[in-house]
Amino acid sequence: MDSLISLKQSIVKEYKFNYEACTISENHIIELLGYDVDTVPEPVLETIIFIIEELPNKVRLQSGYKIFNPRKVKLNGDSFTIDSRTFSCGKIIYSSLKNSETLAFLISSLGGEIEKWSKHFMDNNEMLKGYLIDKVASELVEQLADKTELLLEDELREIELKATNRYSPGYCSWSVADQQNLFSLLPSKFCGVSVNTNSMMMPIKSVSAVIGIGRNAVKKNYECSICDIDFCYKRERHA
Amino acid sequence: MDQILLQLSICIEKGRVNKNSNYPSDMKGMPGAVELTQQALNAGISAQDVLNDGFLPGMKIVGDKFRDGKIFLPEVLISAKAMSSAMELLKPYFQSGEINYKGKVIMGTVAGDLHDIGKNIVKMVLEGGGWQVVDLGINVSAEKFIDSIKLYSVKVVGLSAMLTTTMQNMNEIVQKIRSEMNDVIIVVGGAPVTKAFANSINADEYFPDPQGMLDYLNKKTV
Repeated sequence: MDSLISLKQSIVKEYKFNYEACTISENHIIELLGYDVDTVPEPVLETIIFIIEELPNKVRLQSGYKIFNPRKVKLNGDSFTIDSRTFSCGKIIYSSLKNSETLAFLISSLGGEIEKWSKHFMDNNEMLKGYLIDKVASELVEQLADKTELLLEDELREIELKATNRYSPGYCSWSVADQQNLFSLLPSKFCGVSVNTNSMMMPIKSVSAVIGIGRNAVKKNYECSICDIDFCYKRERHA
Repeated sequence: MDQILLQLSICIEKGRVNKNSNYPSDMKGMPGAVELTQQALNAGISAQDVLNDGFLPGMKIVGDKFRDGKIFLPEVLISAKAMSSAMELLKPYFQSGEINYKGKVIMGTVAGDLHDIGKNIVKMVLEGGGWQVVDLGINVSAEKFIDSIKLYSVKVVGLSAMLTTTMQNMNEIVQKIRSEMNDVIIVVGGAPVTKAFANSINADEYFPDPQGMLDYLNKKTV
């Protein structure tokens, strides 16, 4: 437990990123949509280029994490408890977290402007633009979360700890209703994000997740085969 | 079919908005859906025929291709833009009653849920299929659905939810609609919604894609 001596209390880190921290490429978005560079229709390609050019002016990248004091974290059955709040994360996530010595919550957000931008086009007979902005934003916020995971891993490496994959409420059979508990354990409006009574994050283009931490924590290739939720964006992202 | 209407149908399928459009590149300089709609009306073709024989066949091809996985959603949206741009010319005919919609549907995203992209896409496909859609927007309460069903005298209502938490609100809305009226067809959809869930809340139909709902409506007399 030596490495956990440095984690006697919770650690909170919040970052603001320049847009350049993420790398959204035309080709990647083209592939996410199901095309390749030879088959993508001209208006789709033109719109993707337009969005990527304008994107830096439409997002405010904020991200952070809270690593919990190990003494406040308990893992049992198919749930975990932090500070007496219980999270029913389900068997799939529990099996990845079970060897963790503590947990971290991660939040990433693009801010609210990009939703307004998408809606503006949706409301003005430019549904292709509105839809593609939404699609690009979904990928960008995941990239931001990826970037934040790397920062967390760097910090953990210094104290000889490792991290698992991140898992979000609403996926892998973890009820999205647990967002309420998750945000109750973070500073108010952490990274500019809050949840409404239906556990929807505001701004919408935000990510919340739990990450297991420990000397033996393992980050795996994403295993969509163990889950049967067809609609999950991770299935698309990790295909 | 009249040559103009055939061309109109092709323009909608290909997503050619007007003569200034650069897309598709092999149709550059040619009239688009807007000009062909105007030409058809100027030639004395009835607005109803323009809709039935120009607009709807084009969108049907697009919808079928999408359902069969031959094209992706962006191509549906490209075609829909051509259709909705040309549809502006038909608006006066709808208002005067010269064109009849196939029917009227109410749609909304359920209370607590602020996602509207999926609902908007379904709305657009239904409109492209000749249906009038009363869009109640997002965060729609049971009371607003019920009041609107009465106000617009509709027989079909579509409910969208994008979160597992708001699926529970969908359940409550369905029960409240059922308690007030038994003759309304309730269709549900949204990323986390399934056929099993639809059955469990006593909804009439669930469709995983917009074309499924359009095909269903086209078979109904409502």
